[in-house]
Amino acid sequence: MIKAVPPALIFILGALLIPLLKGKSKQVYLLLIPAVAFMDFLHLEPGTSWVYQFLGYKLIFCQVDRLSLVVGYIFVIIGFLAILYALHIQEDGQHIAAFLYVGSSLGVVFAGDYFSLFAFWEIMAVSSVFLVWYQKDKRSLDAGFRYLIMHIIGGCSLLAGIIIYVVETGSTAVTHLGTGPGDIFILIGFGLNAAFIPIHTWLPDAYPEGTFTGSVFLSVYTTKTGVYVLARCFAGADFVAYMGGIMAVYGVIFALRQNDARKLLSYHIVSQVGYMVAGVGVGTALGVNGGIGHVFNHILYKALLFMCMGSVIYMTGRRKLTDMGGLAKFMPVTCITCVIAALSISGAPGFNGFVSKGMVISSAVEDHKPILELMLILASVGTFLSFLKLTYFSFFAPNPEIKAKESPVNMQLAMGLTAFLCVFIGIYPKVLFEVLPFYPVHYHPYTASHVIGVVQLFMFVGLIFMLFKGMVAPHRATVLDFDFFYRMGGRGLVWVCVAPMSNLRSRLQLSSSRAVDIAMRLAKNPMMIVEIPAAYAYLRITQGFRYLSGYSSAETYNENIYRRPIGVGVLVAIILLFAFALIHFVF
Amino acid sequence: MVGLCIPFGFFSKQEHIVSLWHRIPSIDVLFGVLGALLLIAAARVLASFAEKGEDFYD
Repeated sequence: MIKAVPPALIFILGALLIPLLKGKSKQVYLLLIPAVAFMDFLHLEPGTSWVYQFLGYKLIFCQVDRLSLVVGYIFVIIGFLAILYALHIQEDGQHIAAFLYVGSSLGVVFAGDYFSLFAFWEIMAVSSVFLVWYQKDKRSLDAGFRYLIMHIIGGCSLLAGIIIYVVETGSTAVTHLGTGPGDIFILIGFGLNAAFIPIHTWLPDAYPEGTFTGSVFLSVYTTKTGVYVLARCFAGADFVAYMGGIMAVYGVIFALRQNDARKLLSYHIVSQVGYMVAGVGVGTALGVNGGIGHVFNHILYKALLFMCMGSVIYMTGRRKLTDMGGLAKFMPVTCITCVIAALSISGAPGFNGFVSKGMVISSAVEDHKPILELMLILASVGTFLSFLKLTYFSFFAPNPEIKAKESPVNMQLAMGLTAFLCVFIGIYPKVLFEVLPFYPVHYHPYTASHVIGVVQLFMFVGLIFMLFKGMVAPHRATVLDFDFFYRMGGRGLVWVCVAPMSNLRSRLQLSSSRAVDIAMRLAKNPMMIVEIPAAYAYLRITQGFRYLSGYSSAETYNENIYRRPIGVGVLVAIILLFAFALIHFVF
Repeated sequence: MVGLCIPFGFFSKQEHIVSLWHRIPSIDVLFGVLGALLLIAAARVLASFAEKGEDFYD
């Protein structure tokens, strides 16, 4: 019998061989790795394996259950499609970073203890930043550093939480957490990756600046591992549920004002992750199934949206909606797949988003959370509004100047396959239901009231869009988010380091140098301890007289004039030693 | 065509009636209209104080 290996290992070791291959063989190899990983999944048995002892703690690299399997499946499927999309990229570094990113994300998913989870968590942060930096311009470099700083802060919080938790409980197992101090630090660490408000700013800042293929990977893994660990450790927490609602609404409001197509999509990641977080926070079987089902579906349609916008950027060099328009006739495959993705993310009947979004909203209804339900419905309205804006202004709005060609075949194939999966799961949701964590799934998406309700919602949102199109039309601007405060705080920190702290350092260095200088002089001649006050007083008096008499000279100080023979110092030391001995022995 | 979808809401049965609005037929029409207007207004309010020039950070 073949023993399965941790899927992370296949991608991480696979990344090391990429530079050794060239041409077609490299392309075949790139596609073979996710295929091998998928085959490996078929041999994974529920339970724990690949367990090692480290400093008296267990490191578990392969903990398999329905939750880790469903997330692992979609990570590998989309890994294959994203690699197919990026197959024509010549830079090995991009492929290596992507493989390490996918591998470390799978490492987090199958980690059974907090130490190995943390290790993979950090590899994920470091490898993913290269997908931003490979864009190789100043904006991406700066955004990458901001991304890294935020993730280092999140990683520190996670590590602090893990240490407190392990010290308190003596266990490193990844299990459900509560409200202890360590648990809160861990929640902050997880929440940063899941883009909790207001620590979400790294996402709309960095993702639009990545390479057009790198952004496809970025849109999938970091936030979804965040949702996965929340489902494992914080399912049923009310705070998490309402944070999900806030994220869902916050994301769509900001998305409505964006002009950069990938920034708009990035804010929609915040919003859609909000649905997942809300489902997980509700914590019922339907809620967790809905949240994880939405992870599955969202990965497909969001990766597809980033593929489509990447295709437009690659073929036209334009990233702003104000510069696009009229692309439908030049890029029909990109246009059709983008419309499918837009309908999927909006939750239109017949598309995958309809199934999982309905599950999350229904879980809020069943758990008697009416405010959360209204927030999620509002976010649903905003999502459809935003994607009417995106598809209309990028593909259908008149633009006589634009000329473009359809993207390369591998990109079209990746988009086509991903679009097919969006529709397939939408029409046949049983495929999804069979892999969800709580099985069997007691939910029927295609009820008359659900379908009619969503159609009514879309019809009237569409009507409002047509009436108020001018008010949501893109225009050239930057919308400040919480990152404004972080940037100002960062600038303040730099100023404190450069001005007062640097000044303090100079002063301390000068004072220390003087103290050392004096100590050296005193070591040379201990008699100076007695003579310095006298010499100082003498100097002051003579200077005073000289000033009064108008005399000045350029006398230089010669230490040998004042220095006594070494014997005098020895004599003073012997006298002091004698005095000390006398006091000690007599008294 | 948009208006034609309203009557369908009166003939479909709501599965889970928990909150007050679940009892109102075709409530999603209202959610769609009010939600879209509210979000457009919210985005305008956001823009009034948070929208700056394209090169603001540069």
